[in-house]
Amino acid sequence: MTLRAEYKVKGGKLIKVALEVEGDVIKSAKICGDFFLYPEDAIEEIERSLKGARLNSDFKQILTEAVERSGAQLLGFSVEDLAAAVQLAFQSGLG
Amino acid sequence: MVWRFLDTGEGDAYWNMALDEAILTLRIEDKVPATLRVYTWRPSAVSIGYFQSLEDEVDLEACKALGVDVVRRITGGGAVYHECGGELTYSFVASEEELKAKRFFKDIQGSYQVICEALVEGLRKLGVNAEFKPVNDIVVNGKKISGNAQTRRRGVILQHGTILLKTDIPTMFKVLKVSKEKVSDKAIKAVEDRVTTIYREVSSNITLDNIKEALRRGFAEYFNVELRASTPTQAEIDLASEYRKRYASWAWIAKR
Repeated sequence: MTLRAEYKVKGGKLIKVALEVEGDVIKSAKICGDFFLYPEDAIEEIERSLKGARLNSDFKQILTEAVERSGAQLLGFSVEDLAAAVQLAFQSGLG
Repeated sequence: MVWRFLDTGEGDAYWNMALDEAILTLRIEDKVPATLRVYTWRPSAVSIGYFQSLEDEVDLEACKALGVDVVRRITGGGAVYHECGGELTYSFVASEEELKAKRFFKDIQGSYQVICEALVEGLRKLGVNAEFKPVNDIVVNGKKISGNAQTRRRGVILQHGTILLKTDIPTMFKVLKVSKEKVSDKAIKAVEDRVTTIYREVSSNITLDNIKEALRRGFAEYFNVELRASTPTQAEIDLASEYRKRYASWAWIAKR
């Protein structure tokens, strides 16, 4: 099942999350949008970090660690925004 | 100190993006100086940000029908409709170090600010009362006239952006999936309320050459450098020809 969410960041950027989910486990994640992230390819590490996460996982913690590991700098959005977008996508699947 | 000013005229989407990246690579290798480049797009094209989903943002059927190219940028940010004759694009490449020596900034947002302030200096020479609006816009009375996007590699910054001369909102609505709403008069009015153009702010008598020269002078004065008019080096053209293949490839365009 694919769970999707669009999250509007204060200041205008849009984060679009698509999660491939089996049961309540994320199999893969895709994060798209009009934000800025440096270096750009760090997005792949961040997406990979969500693999295996569950509905009750601490997304903020997972994403913070991935951002630190990849040395990424975010502009126009925060790790909290990203975590909120992932949460929102999960909730969309709860009907 | 002498920086370089390149007016490369019209190019297609793939070439335009390839040459920006070639300048970035060769600046990293110290083979070219800091460079302000100005250019336009023929045919008209949509550029999408590095992180954007092609299918979410672009109506490919409409693009095909209208002869509009589609390209993915190496920079983040949003989708832009580059109308042939409707806008001017610039790119600016400089090392963080040489930029800081001219205008200090402390973080990435700060680097957007100084480069955009140089653009603002140029726009004011045309009588456009522009100002920088974080994260990456230049506005006139709150209405966006320019969007900007930046990447950085090995201490060198590439920032490019578009300056609107006029808008063709109906076509923009056709090629971009901007809204699920119908292309109503109301929707067009909503964009017109948020966006402005050089023609609207000053006059449609302003030529592309006027704007290019104003930007060149704006950058020269703001950074206190000479910007000498030049042409791309053979190495830039060769490298851009290489890069162009990637930009034109479906694998890159549909990467996300």
